[in-house]
Amino acid sequence: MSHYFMIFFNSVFIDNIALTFFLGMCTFIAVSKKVSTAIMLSAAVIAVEVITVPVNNLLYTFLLKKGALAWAGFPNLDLSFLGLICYIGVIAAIVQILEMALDKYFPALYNALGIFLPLITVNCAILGAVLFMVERDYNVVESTVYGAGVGVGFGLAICLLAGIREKLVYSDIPKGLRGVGVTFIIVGLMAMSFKAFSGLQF
Amino acid sequence: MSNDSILKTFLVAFLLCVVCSILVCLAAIVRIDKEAYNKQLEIRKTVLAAGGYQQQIDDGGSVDELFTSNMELKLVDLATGDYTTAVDAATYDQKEAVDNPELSEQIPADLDLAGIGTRAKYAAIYLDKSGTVILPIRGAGMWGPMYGYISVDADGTTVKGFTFYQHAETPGLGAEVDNPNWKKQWPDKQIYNSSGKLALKVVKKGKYNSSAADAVNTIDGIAGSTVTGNKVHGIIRYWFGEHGFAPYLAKLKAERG
Amino acid sequence: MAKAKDALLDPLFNNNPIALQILGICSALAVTNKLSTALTMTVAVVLVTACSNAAISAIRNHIPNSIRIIVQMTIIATLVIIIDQMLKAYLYEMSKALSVYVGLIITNCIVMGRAEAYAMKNPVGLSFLDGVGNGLGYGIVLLTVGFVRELFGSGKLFGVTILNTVNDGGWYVTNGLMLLAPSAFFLIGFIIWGLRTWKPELQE
Repeated sequence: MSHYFMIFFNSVFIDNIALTFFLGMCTFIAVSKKVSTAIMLSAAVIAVEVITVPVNNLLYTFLLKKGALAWAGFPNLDLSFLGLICYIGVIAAIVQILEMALDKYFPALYNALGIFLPLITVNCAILGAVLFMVERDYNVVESTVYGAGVGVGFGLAICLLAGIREKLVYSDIPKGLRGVGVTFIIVGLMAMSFKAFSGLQF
Repeated sequence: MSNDSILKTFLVAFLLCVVCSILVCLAAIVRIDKEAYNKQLEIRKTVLAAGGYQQQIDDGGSVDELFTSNMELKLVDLATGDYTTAVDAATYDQKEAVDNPELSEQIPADLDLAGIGTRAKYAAIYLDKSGTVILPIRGAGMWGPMYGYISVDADGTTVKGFTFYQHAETPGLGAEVDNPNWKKQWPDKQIYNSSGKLALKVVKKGKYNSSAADAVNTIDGIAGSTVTGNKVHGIIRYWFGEHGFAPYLAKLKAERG
Repeated sequence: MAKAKDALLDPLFNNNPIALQILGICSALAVTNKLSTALTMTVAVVLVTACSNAAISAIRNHIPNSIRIIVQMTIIATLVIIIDQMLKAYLYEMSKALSVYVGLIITNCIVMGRAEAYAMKNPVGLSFLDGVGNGLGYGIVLLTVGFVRELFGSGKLFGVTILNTVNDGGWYVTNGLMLLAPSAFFLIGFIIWGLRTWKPELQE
């Protein structure tokens, strides 16, 4: 149990996907102007991460990994080079299905989250989490926990940033720095404070 | 034919798939041969570096030539410390063996100083012509697994060289395990003390005292990276302990000495 | 001719993808702690953006609207896989240093953004140049950040010692922050600041 907690805790704080790996930055900067939208986006990211990471894990373990096709009579086949194209296909498909399902069964939720879902397909935080999962050799339970952790970590970071940016309206910032410029510097400061978690050991 | 007709959609999708798959396969075919060689070259380079051939490599010596003329691959059964031919050494992959329940065993939690959980039953080691043995070590680092080699003299206790070939330590801090200046202090350290007990240790940077009695067993840590230093310490303590190479090194010593 | 020049040069400063369009910052910054990785990444992105733009532009009149995105994605992913495989074959150590970030070029918004915004509407030649231009615009920022980070973080440029560091027995105390992620954010923030002071019409 503590093992799973560690994976979760690590991916939320220590290996925060946005603030230590720089992933999902485009969305991170673009959709962090208001806390309410940031919360919606976080919900969508968490949902997509929790589904896509374990699904891609299964795909990797049973089809792509070296020796994974032994059941089909190809014990030495290594298809891992097809990984990238498969993962992105799976992500695009799952996002599409999720969108359709939400539209049909939870129209209210769809109206709130709808516009964020297509955005998420090309969010590197999702593909990044999948690639890290493969690199770290997680099993299916671990990757579900990891997916949840990455999603929560991303959500935490983007909500914090949105909170800061809302307050920033009242500050007097040099003209050239306004908007994106100062946002980068804030993200830098946030990343530094997240570094403080790196000393934690269990 | 209209672009949005179903037939055309399928046709475009199909043709795209065919063209892309041919391109990807061609690229993969080129890569597979090359990569196997690259990986082998990397291992050979590290083994030679740990074995004290770094200078010759820097001087432009051929890695493959140096390796084949000096190194001999052997498998050691870690439990008994004997050489084994239970599996074919040429095709044995120690990293893969760790995931294979038949070729690996669980490490009891209280002995698992390197934080690796399981280890392969057999270790692929290299024998240098001079009698030095080059042993594979691995363990958990601060951010990810660390893999390396350490070479020990035929007396079974004197370190000859040490190097990691894969790690994910913090650049500028823990990643200084790669720094030749830090690795320089490893040669001639003694793994076991005069009564045969495991004594080699990595201490916090600055706690090293060159006039202390155990200086010959002590490695000064890495500046700014106590964690990585501690991890390396754990790796050393595990791999030279009873569950690691201790039985083998004892036999090596008895045989040569 | 003027159009071709615009397609190539505009993205360098006037419409820089990172500093102004805020695209493609994602994977890039993690590879800027050394100039050599930044350069490899730049070359990879220029190749992918240019080739995918050209390929998509070449078949733009035959792409059914309903599967437009997935067609673009497949072409981009194919190119990225080819680059990834070639790196693994010919620049093995570099491919290890770049780890998953080469694969993440697929989700680099610059590539997808240019495919959708430019290549779908313009002829092959121009699209190719636009791809090169945007790749280079991205590269300029990457190399600038890489230059500062490697010089002050490890006292080296392309792995060659410029400032002799204390760890190697020299005088220069390295700035550890430069090797860590946050420094890249500060540097990009300053680059944007500089660019917008230089060209006030770009201010928000």
